[in-house]
Amino acid sequence: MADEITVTVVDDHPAMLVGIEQWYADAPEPVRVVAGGATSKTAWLPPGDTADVVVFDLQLAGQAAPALGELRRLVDAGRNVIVYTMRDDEQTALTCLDLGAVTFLTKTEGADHLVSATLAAARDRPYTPPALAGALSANTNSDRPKLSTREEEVLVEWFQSESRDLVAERLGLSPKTVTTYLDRVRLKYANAGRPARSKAALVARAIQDGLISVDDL
Amino acid sequence: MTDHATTARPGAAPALPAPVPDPPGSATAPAPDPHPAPAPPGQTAEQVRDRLVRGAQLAVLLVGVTTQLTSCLPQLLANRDRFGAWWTEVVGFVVLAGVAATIATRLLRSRPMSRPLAFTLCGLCVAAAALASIPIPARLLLVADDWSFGIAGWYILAILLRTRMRTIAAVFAIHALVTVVEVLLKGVPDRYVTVQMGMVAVSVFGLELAVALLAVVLHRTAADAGEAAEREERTRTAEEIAEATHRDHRARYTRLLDTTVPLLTGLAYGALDPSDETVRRRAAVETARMRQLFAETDDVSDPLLHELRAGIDVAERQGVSVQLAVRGEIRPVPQPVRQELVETAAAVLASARTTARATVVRTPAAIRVSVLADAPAEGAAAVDAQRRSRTETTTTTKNGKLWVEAVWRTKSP
Repeated sequence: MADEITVTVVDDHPAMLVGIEQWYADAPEPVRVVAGGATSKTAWLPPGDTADVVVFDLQLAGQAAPALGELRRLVDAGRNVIVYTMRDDEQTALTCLDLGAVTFLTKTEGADHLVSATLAAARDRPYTPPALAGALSANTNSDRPKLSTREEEVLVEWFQSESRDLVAERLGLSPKTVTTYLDRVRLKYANAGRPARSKAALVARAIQDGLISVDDL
Repeated sequence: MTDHATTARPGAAPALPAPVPDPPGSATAPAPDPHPAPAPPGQTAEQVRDRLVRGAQLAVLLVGVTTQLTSCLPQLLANRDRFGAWWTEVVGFVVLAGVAATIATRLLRSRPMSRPLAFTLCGLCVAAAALASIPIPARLLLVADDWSFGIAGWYILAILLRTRMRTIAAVFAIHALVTVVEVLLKGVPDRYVTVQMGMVAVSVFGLELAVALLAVVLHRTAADAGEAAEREERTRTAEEIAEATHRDHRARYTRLLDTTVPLLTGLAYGALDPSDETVRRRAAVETARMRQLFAETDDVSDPLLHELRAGIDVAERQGVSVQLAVRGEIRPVPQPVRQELVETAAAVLASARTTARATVVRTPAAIRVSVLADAPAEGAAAVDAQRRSRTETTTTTKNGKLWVEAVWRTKSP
């Protein structure tokens, strides 16, 4: 029971809730949806308030604008929030990341990415799905972290192919190295912009895992 | 069994651009290319900063030159028979004048100074000031009789105004240190003289550092001004693109009359058989064209995407499900480049069996159009066979997937 990952899903489409539960049922590690609802209240009230991970739809019913304020409040309360949305534009992705969302997934990215992202988020490990990688590679904001040429290549190609194997093939790397590059990029972003508990946790965990050293910061 | 091969192919050598599919007898005159290669972002800001800082440097230089001519020169002449070894003062004066001339030439010709040259000139300023003050007794150092102290600072400032405040302060510190050493070597004068020296030093450096601080503010203003200029430029480009697209739109609308109308008449009068494969293919192509045309009324400023969508449409018509993802701001792409990018993508899309993923990534450095499809590996050969002169393609095949990326680089990596 202690190893079970608990999830709160905030999404206004009942079918999405059912689908997500189904996806988690097939996850390689036990993941349980403890609460699901159409508004962010679900994540603040028991039983949803103690879940390890919040899967959060930015575009909730009855709201014209994306619920960035809600996202900020959840992040500031120390929650691990995965933004899961129909929106596919990079500015939203970058804003969510800066606010402190652990990752940004679009709904066109299927089950594998959501499950992997959830497992990673519960353990404060980075996960960069292709849509987010694309947003990071096209980021031209002046406060963008400095990336190496190889990191840029991996980002673009991961976005293009959605396949670690293909990126590895093209760049002559192992799939594991591809993941390492993606993680390092994600950490550079975690280390930039607005401070948040989730970002600090990502960086701390990466140092523990030996992914980066304190000197890299 | 997996077969994989990764080949990077720079554009084939000086090939002519592939023929444009536009019929030459098009009713309207060909519009001038509305998509010139854009200046990389940040360049305008750089230019604005350059101009502003150059102006400030010229102003500081002018202050220096005026001081040297109106204040230092008379003092130099007055010192002629006072302290002995007057030649050192003359040499110092000439060297400083030489430094001023060098700075002036560089600034007026807008040729930036390399760091080694800048630091050499600063070194010369400090050395010349020290040399000129050799004959002057310790109690008169830094005061009016020692004309070389302040002037060297102005020239150093004129040279280093472009660099960080820290660098300027460091060179000033060296300059001050040299003078302190000189005072120590010549014997420290009475306390009130030393205090006076300190006050002179503080007021001279204070004024010069204040100017340096102004330059820092100038840097920031320049960045803002540059950004504003770039925004304006973007708006102008967008307007021009919209207008050119509108022209193009009308030209293509006219062209529909030549292709769609005969097809429709043929179908209406029974001259063409809808069950004929070629007729159906023609109809599919015409539909794609018309769709593209209608779509452009919604968003006219992104020709690359619209042309790519036409290829996607054709693939979808053949039962391929295509996912399109786009990242990065709309950027103008010259028509021939656009054509190469889109043709490469269309070739892969056309060979897809069931699914394909098309992506466009636009950064200041490059535009990348990529298609990943479950296509036979032979498709790679077809893509490689296409002639290109402006773009590079990379092909990867693995596990029955064909992945082709066409890149137009606007900046060398």
